Amino acid sequence: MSKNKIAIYWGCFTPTKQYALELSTRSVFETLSIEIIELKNSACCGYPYRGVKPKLWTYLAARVMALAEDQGFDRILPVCNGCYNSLIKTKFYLEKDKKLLEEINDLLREENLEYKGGVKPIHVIEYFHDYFGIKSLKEKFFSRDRSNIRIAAHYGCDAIRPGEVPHFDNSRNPQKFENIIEALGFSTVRDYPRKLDCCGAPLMAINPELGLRVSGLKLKNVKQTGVDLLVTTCEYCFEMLDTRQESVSKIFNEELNVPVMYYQQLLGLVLGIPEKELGLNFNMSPIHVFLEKFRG
Amino acid sequence: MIFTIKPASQVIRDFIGLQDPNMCFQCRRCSSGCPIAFLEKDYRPHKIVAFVNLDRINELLNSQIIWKCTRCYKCLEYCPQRAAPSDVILALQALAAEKIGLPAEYREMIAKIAETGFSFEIMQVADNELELYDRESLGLPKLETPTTIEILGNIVKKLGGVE
Repeated sequence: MSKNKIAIYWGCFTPTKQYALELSTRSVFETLSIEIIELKNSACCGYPYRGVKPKLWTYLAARVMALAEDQGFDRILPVCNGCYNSLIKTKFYLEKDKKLLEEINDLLREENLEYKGGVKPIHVIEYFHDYFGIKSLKEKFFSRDRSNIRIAAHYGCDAIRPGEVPHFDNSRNPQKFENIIEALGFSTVRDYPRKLDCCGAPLMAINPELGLRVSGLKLKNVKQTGVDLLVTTCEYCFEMLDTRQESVSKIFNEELNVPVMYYQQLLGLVLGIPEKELGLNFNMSPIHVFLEKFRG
Repeated sequence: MIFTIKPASQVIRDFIGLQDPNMCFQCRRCSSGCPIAFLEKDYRPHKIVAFVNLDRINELLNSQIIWKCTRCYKCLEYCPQRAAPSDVILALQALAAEKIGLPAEYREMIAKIAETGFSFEIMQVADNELELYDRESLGLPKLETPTTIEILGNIVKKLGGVE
């Protein structure tokens, strides 16, 4: 696929609720003159069912990649951490387990699809770091030194673990997210307590109260680092850390006040895209404090 | 119903990979790194693995413990034996869904996929000034249901055990 085109898989949660991620991703790519090609006929990646119904999960994830291959893509960019994880994990297992592959392909054939393994799922962080390139990010968008603004990166579990499955970064000491934030002129905290912890989202289907407490554990530790902003690329993590931050505060009976943004929103701001086109009005955390500092 | 170690580790091998809970020597590193163990006194991944290895799977399947995992995989990262408590717990969830019943929350979501292709209903969302937006008012393209939804839906219902 050429450099100025990218095939995107939106998943479920972004196009049905987390519109800010879709808006900011679309406007950033438009500004960068990179054409988004939509994956046609796509459905859920199966992520929520990897525990309860593993075969359903494998089938749905394989289907996304089979569709991509059928539509002529060799790479696909899922915007969601969960989707990314579903795809790379399924790719990993189907390479190892030919019997399972056969079984899945029998199901896919009903839609005239076949999983051949020729599609590489790319994470958003990986895309900007390794495909768009950290160098061109720096050359093009390091417009001024913003190192007085300190940012913490939240990778999210599914972006980095399990280490057995090849991911875009080291599972125990990932650094690429911080690199692409610093490339825009900001400074980052390379490490903070519970940096690699979960946002709690996978618990929301069945144990929401516990899920919110997991999110609170993360947010409290971020708050203590005193950063100006917490950044993520995953809409499940964003839902927990931003959209539900007020509910989390109530459970802990403590003001958290951690400003949270998508990386695409942050990049969009640096590119000078208007706030509404980045969906910044959907951020429920107090980002105005950050925005004032950003505008200087 | 009695389940022995075999179905659990078989599910693990079939779907989750190559790890073996029998490799666990109860060092407790998994529990030291687990955010849920930090928050919940009764949740200790190493104990869950011990119960599996002692063949006490029924007790686990009938308890709420196995539904407390947030699936973050930190335990596997901490495990020196790669015995994979996370994968053991996921396999237990799969067994519980099969033998005791799929939790209603998942059942609804799976039924939704069979109907629309997606796990969730398309929502109207309020922004921070409480103004409501949907895809159309935001200028986002219409979300299309897969043209092959009938075929897809049938497979999803079959694999998800939802009729």
